[in-house]
Amino acid sequence: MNRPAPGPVPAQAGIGLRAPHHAELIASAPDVGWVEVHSENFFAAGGSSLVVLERVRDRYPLSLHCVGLSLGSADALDEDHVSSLARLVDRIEPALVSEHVCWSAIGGRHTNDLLPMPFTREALRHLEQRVQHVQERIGRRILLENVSSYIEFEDAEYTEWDFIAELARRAGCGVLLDVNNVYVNAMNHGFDADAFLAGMPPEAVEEIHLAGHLVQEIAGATIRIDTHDRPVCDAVWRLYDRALARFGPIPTLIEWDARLPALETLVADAHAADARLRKHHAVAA
Amino acid sequence: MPSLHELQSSFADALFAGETRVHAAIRGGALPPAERVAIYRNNVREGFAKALDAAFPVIHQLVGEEYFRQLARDYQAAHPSTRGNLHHAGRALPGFLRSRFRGTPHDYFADVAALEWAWQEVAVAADAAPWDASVLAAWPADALPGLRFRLHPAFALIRSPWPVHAIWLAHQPGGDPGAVNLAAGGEALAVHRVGERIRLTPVGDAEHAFLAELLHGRSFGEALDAALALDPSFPLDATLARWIGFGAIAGLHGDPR
Repeated sequence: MNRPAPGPVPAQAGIGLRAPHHAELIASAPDVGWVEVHSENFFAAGGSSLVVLERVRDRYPLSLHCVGLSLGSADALDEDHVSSLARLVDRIEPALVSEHVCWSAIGGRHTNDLLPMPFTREALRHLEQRVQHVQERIGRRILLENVSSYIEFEDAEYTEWDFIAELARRAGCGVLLDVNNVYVNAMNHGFDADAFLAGMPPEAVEEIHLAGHLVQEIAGATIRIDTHDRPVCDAVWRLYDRALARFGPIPTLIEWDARLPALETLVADAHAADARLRKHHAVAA
Repeated sequence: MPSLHELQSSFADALFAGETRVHAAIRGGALPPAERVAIYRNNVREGFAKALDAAFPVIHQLVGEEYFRQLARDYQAAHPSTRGNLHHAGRALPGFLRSRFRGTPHDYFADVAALEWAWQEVAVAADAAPWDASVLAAWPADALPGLRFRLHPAFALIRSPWPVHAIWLAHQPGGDPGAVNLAAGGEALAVHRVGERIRLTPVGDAEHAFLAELLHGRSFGEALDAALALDPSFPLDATLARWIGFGAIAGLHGDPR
């Protein structure tokens, strides 16, 4: 149990691990570079979930991905939630810790969703302080992920990419670039996805997410919804290639959260990402 | 531009109460603000229902897909999430079902939900080091009735006038829901962990009374009296040995060791 964890997350593809695959992953130890889990699924005082996570951590570099800190909320930070994360980080010693550029709760009302930020100076200052606070509490740098959105607010003072780049610069955090979310937002809001990539500081991008999304017709308009319930689409794979061209080979996660396929499908997706990563390793070498 | 707090409050009012104040702050374009907010409202409902489904798979089977979705929506309106972690969201569902189905043929839903929630709590409760029962020998016999046992944090008791354990078992993979006889009478059981594994262990009435007294922090003597009141031949030694063997006793309150 006290074996040192495998080293940092390699510039290979990993998979998002969800409960239905826990036992099979441990038993079959598939060939993937690393594994990511949702931190909140392991906020247990004891019991088997933590034992399972330690077994995974002993076999694979592990990333803890948070979905519930509500960093962008105007509510006070939930210090109990931060403490739960700090305890988990101390016990598991993950290779990476990440959260989202979003808010989830206000006035004690929790949506448990990743809601869009207004890209304003006030919001940027607020996030900067909160990210720094969490980094101090858990004693390490975190990565922040761009989220899919279906709304843009009037009177934005930054583009999404400038907001995130500036946040990373001011708070000293890294960027978890979700290429699917970049594509979804570019299509939903009519911006150029490559402008988003060009706006990210290359030194800040430490992880990439890939996932599937749903194309939905609502009231005569086409909206892309971030569902994580289907394969990565071709346009997102192409955007991923352009991201690798700009940022070099970066640890890349295949994420499914709904209509979870067989573990071997996730592994096959990861190998498809690895094939693309290898081309850029070759270029980088 | 409204302040961050004002914008988020009006957004939450739109999500939870259908208010439209936030619409003025949202770019419309191809889709009106109300339709955009509705996407989020749907996501919030879906996420909540999914968390309930994960915690209450038997209730889901008992009420069916369509009713479960309605139930999740009604329950969310009455007991909205108050934490950043949805794993807590189901805590009030047994009570909610009790109010909704009291006096109906589905009265037993609440007790099945209580069993499923106990499973959830026991799954994540703290670990405890094994207790060495031989320390009991160090106490003088006349001190024993006053001792108070500390039970393992991962230990819960369920008692129902319905056959909740049989209902639960029938709705596990490979079970036969059609074989449940609701008239079979009540059941009591302990939901507890043995090592990492969660177990459901049926207990008799006197055993239930004994364990319930211990769970509520009452003394060994009081627990024994409660058991003997129900069963004058209550097998104390065998019962103690069984639960010490399961690791359900974690120590003594006020243990001087």
